[in-house]
Amino acid sequence: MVALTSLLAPLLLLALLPGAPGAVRVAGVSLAWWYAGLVGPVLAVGLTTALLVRASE
Amino acid sequence: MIALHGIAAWTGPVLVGAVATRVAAGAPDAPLLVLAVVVAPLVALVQPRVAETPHVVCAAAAAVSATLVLAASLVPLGDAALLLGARRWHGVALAAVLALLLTLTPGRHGWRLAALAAGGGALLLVLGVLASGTARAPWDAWRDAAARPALRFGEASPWVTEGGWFARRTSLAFAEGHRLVAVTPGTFRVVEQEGASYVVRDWRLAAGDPLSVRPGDRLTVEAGSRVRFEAGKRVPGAASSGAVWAEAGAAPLATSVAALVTLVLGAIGLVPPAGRRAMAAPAALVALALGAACWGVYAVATTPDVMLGGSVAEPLLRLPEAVPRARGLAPVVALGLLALFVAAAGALRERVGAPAGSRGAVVWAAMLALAAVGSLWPFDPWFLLMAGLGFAAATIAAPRLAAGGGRRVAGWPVEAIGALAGGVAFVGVVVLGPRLPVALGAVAESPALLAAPAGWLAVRLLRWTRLA
Repeated sequence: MVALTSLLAPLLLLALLPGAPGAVRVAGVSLAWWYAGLVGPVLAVGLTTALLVRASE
Repeated sequence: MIALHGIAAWTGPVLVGAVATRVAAGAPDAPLLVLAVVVAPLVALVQPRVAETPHVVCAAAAAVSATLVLAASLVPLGDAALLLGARRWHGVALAAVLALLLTLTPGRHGWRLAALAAGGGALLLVLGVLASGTARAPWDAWRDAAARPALRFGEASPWVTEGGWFARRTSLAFAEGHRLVAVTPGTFRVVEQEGASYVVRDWRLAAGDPLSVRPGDRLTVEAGSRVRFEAGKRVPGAASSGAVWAEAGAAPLATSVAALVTLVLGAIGLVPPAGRRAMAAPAALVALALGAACWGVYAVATTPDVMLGGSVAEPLLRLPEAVPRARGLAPVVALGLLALFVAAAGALRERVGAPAGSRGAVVWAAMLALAAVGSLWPFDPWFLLMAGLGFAAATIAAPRLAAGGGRRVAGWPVEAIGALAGGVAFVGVVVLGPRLPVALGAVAESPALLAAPAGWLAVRLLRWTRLA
């Protein structure tokens, strides 16, 4: 549960760091949106699946 | 309960609409909200199972939370009915009666999975048609939206042609001069800045009367008012350009943390832990949350005025009408929202109705009736949802996470006492909220920030005193 919740931390960090790194565009889309829309969800689903598989063994 | 049934409590129409609206509005916390909407129920799915039957206090707390969440989910259905030309109560009554009939039908439960699949499938299908109709992938639409020099009313926008409708009381800031026309009679408050002072003027307008506002003016419009704007003018309240929308900045840390605490703990309170082979649930959650976010992105790229009326249903229902190939699909979206509500009601009934025993049906019918009546008022559905999740966080999730381990004090399980402490703290913060100092603004906005630790601490203290 803690590991899953900690996936939210990078977005808070991106908002706190000076220079607004979350607004930096990568392939035309901001870093914050790449993380919120792709990297974070993929990591969250992968982690949840691994935890559920381990729990069912 | 299989995991897909459980997550239906989370994927109601209010959350889907709120994500789309916040993304379309360029809210500073939009990326965080999208990720939190995915992560929070996943945290709930991996939480440890609770074996024993909940105490009556915990069951009552779950009923209060579920009623607030149901009311929040009925508001967009009422809005959808209005946007499709019916009355608000038609949408609310249809959804409430359908949910009541299905949830009280003994035996069959297959409809819950079917409703979730139909609702999610309908929204994702129309999203696919939007992507095909605009010939843009979501990331291309994001780039196009970010490249818009200004977010302006289009020639064909209903806000320009027949007049848009304000779902709730709204205050609009104008960056340029506008000439509005009242479509229905109403009172409009304009706050004009004259030097260092402000002048407040109330205008009582009849249908067809114009109202001119200057740059810097603020206009307050009452719920239910209908107004026409001029084509080509900037949408008041929207970001000044696509670049500003794309780089919306950051919400204050305390506000973001408060929202995250409410969402994550609220999900733990309302979404049950997953059983075995629950692999479809995470995928379904991601598809729905990201689908809603994409809806918001397409809204900015094509019709940036969809969040003006304050209805979370508006981006979902108006967008298909703005894309030629998707025209006529708004009723499909409305049916999808209805299906998601029915699925959510089924999941919430399971969470609340089962512990209520033989009186479960009566309690459930009363909850649905209360939620339906409450949703007829022009409440902000996001406020209702966060209230429901916050109450669940303080009274269900926090005491459970404190792990009372079945201990009792004076015959009461310590979790029930924790729920009482959390509930009292939550209500206390709500009552005292307007009197709290500005520094505690995040607590006043999200009472769970204080109430959840109160519920958790009560259980831990009781555990400690029993062990000592």
